[in-house]
Amino acid sequence: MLGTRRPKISSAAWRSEGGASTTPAVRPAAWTAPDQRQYREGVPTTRRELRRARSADAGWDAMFLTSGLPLWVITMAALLVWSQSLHTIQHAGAGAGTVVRLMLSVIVVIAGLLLLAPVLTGWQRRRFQGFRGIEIREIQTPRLYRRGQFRLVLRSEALWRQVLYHLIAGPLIGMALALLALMAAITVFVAVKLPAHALGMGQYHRVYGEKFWGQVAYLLLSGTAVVFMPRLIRALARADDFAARRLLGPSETLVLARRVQTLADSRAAAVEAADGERRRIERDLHDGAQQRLMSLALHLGIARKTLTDVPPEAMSVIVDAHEQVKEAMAEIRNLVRGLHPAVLDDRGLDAALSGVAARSAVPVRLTVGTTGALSASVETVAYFVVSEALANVVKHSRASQASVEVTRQEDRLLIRVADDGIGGADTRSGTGLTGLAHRVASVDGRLRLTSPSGGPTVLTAELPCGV
Amino acid sequence: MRVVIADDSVLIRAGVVRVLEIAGHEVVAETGDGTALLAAVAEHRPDAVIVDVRMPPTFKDEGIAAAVEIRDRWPGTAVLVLSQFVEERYATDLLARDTSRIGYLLKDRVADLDSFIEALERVAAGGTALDPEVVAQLLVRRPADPLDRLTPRERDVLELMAEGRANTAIAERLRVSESAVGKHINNIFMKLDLQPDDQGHRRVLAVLRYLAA
Repeated sequence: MLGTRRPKISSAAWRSEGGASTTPAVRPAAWTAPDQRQYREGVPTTRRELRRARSADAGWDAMFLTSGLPLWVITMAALLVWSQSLHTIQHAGAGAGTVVRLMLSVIVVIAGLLLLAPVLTGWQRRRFQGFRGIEIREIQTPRLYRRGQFRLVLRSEALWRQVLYHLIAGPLIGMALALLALMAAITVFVAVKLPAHALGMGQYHRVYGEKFWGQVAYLLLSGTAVVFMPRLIRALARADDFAARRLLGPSETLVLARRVQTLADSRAAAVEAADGERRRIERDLHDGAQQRLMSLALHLGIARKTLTDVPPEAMSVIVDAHEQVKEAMAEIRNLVRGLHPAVLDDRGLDAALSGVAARSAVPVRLTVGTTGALSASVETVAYFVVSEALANVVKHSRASQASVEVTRQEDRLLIRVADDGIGGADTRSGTGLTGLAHRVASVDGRLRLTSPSGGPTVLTAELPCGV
Repeated sequence: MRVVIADDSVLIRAGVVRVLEIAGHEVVAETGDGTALLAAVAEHRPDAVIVDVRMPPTFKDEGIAAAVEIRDRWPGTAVLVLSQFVEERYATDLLARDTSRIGYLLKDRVADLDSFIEALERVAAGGTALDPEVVAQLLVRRPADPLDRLTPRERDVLELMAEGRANTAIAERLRVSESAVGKHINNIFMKLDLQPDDQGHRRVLAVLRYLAA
């Protein structure tokens, strides 16, 4: 900690997720005091070095705290005045006028703060960034001076939190700092005066004798406090960090809400990107490998038909090659069909499902109801569900027939794939089904599987298709 | 036979041209997209057109649209659609008007020269050539037997209808009210997809369905 010169800012989850992101404490060169630089090189080891390091840190912290004073001074004064008035009201039983004046001043100060909060917060944000390397996220708050935003201002939780900082938290820290400074000053003053007292004791001791011992006691007490001063200052600086993060930055709820939004957006983008990639691969294969193979098959076909005077061994090689290239074409076609068939974009899910169902080695009966308009991502997932489920039926179920039903129920698309096979399928064991569950989850859908041993297996996917 | 070819891949076009020449057919024009194909057909009035599905500018179903238009404007011209994939939905579009002079095959089939030429000639002669994969796709969508959807009581009613009995007689026989019989009959019509036009006509159709099963 001392090696890096700055207290490390702990990164509790809510903070690192955007409340006030912590950047490595990089300060502008102008702020780096010369005597602090040496500590960057090595970790202080001796007691003396440690003490020096701590007091240098405390000096920096004190500067940081002092820099807040100008921003707090008015509200500090207001707090002092209010506490005086409260005191008067309590003890002297002051008249209604004082109470009204107190109330009015509170309202005026709070209104002023509501008005100025964005500006003050901006200054504080720069102060924390400059001194502490702490980034406090900016949040949009309604402005009191704008038309029609009055209600919004009163209801703005963020704005009230900022007022709380500028009115209470900051000034309290400022007062504590002032108190510490005062105490230190008195200590120095007393320490300077004490020897003089001791020397002149003979002359004055009848008058000042009792005071002398009082001063000694004070000096002992405040001396101890001065020894602990660096720690006290550091604690205050941390308190300021904490208050600013909690009160000036976005609230935890807001941070989480934003986070959820960001995650939802990035997930949608990732799903989209994956779909786009599948489309691209499909097109590339269609324009490239498939055409080449097609041409190759054609030419081998021509050779097979027109070459009449080749030796039979050569002809058998041509025939073999021709048959193999045709098989390769069929394989690529099946592969590409599983990726993202062009017909899905052209004519939609209903049309695309015919191909999957027909390709299945287990006979399939396909029923597609009116699905209405579906988003491309839902169609792609639905297609993938049917395609993967049927592949699983063929691979594992030993079924003699399967059925696929696709229906729309209000804002959900229901896909039901059933087979009369041996059952015992599990979303956890089969890799195909696991991938399927993930794919369905990527659009907030639900996948259910009932597959008792002995069958039948029914797989149901529910995909939300609200816009 | 005079043929026009449309395919955006020069490689494949050249291959198909060679295959056709070997078989003794004349390729009068080669084009790379749907619009050019229509112009070429208008100009040369070929006996047959061989067309790819995915062509510029959209690379979607240009070929299908062009094929449908050719069938509309020049019904005497045979159209053979070739594609890397066959889709039942495209086939339905192609066959919507009538099933003569139309073919829809996977491109793979061209590599089997003899059967490809045979399919082309069959289509040109007024026949049909559908890829087995298209047929398989059409078959997965065969509807369930509508009679399976009837309840046992509705079946009883239909059986009696088939015997030629009127509603009164059916009600008497089944010991239910006549209005209940009417309800059953309406359900039967609904489940057999018989539209409510002429009562007597629907009754006959329902009975025919029953007898055919």
